[in-house]
Amino acid sequence: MLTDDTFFASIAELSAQIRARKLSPVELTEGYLARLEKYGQKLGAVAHVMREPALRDARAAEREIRGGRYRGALHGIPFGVKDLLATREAPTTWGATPYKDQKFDADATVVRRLKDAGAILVAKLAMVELAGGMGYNEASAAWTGAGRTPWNPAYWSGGSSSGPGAATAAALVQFSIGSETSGSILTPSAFCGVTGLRPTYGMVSRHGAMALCWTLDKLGPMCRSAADCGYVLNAIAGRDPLDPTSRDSGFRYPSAARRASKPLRVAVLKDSYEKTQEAVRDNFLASLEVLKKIEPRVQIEKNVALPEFPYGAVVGTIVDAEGASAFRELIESGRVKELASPSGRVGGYAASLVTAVDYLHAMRLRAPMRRAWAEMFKKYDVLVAPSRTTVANPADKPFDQGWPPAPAASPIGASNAVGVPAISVPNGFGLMGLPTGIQFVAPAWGESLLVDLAARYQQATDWHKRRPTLS
Amino acid sequence: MPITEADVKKIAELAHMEIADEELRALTPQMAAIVEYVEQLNELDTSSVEPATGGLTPEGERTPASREDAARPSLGQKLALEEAPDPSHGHFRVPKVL
Repeated sequence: MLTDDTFFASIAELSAQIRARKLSPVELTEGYLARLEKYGQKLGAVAHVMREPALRDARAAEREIRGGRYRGALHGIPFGVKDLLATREAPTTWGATPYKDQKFDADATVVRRLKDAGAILVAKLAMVELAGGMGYNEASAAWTGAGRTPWNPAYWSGGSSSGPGAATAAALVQFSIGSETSGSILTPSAFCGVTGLRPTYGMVSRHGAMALCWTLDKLGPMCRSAADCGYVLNAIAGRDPLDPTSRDSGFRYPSAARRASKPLRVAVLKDSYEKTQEAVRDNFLASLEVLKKIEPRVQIEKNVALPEFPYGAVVGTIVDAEGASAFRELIESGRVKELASPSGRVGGYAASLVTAVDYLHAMRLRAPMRRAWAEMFKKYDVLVAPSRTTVANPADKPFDQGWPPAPAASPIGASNAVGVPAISVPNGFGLMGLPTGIQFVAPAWGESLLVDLAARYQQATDWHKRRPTLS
Repeated sequence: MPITEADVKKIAELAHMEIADEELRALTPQMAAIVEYVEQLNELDTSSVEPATGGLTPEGERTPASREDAARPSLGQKLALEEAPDPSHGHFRVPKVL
């Protein structure tokens, strides 16, 4: 009988046991399936449990490993994906009632790559309908109901990768894949206390993923540690002929390459922590102290302002225009009425009002924005800020009736607009026993630095090892 | 000037559209946000920014638009001629045009 220690174990720990044939992938898969079936619905974290295909794949993995063919760190490791990734053997609902019966006859590239690495797909995980593309103001904006953080199920798991956040935090899967257009990996990672990595735009193929905004969408790992994110990213990154925006970045994990021994230059985003919730601020400041311990020569510069651009307006205009285009048929057919969120039911109509001229104007601003960010990253290696300004919102109230707004700056919209990577790492707890996080943002293709830095932060802290009590 | 519920109501009337109160409450802030975005964007001059001609990359403006120059299997004569109305000796036969 496997215990929680196994389900919460890291990829490195599990794979060592699997490789040594001390742990059976079938038994491990059975264990995660049982947890998905027991807790998945309570947390609003699951769209479909894939029991039969998962057990078949686990048996195949076990046979292969017994036969001496070990594929690598992910062989026999059970995982789940946000339900916007196409899968051949389960419906792909995009979290939305109008697509509840949607089926695809091929797996998304990311799913295929993980299966090729020997990982076992056990579930399609819940998400905010259409990744929030039509707008939403409540946790219940999904056909699966409100996503709940396992730390306190009266509170939201965050969105739009709500299921990956909650399922990973509760160890219903070993790891998961989420997606981010503007905050959808970092937010649930913060609210659920997991480690989520949003890669550089173009690093991971989006073939088979629901398109919300093709110039902003990114897929990335959500795990219980930075090291696990490294293993997963290693399997999914790289050029895919089926996604012309994808590129080979040279990311490898584990990597023998060490960072040059120059002092780490850290920029603290101006106004990002002073006016957040108290615990968010205190935990953030404590995290900076940890950085000083793990990087004795670190140079921390506070009050660093982002290059001045109307990031919110740029991202908002692009999300509206590309989202309305991606879901044009749904909007024009009137089936948006079937969405769970009242604001989502009309959001597509408002978004359709963005003119081509305004969209192109916003797109054109991205070139100078990217250049200005590249200049900024000549002075700093990473930018840091709290992952979110508050802990998770109440799950059963509209967001605008939740926590009082914290008037602090966030780099989430801006860093998505320029396409650079970020990682959110748990750094403590705040109100109602809910987790808080710190985000590290790096220049384009800086994932190695992010994983390495976050992993060293986690060697010096144990926030990522805390486990929620499930009932 | 921000868009108000009265503005949205008036637009709906002009377009002969019925609009429920719940929809009005949801639509107004969304339309107001778009107008606000556009006002902010219009304050910036992009005339000196080269229009993007390639894809978007995080550190530059262009992605290579050409594919690898490698031979790939073609359709093949049999398949190409399968749907032809009047094939002859491995060719398409077409009506005389001159």
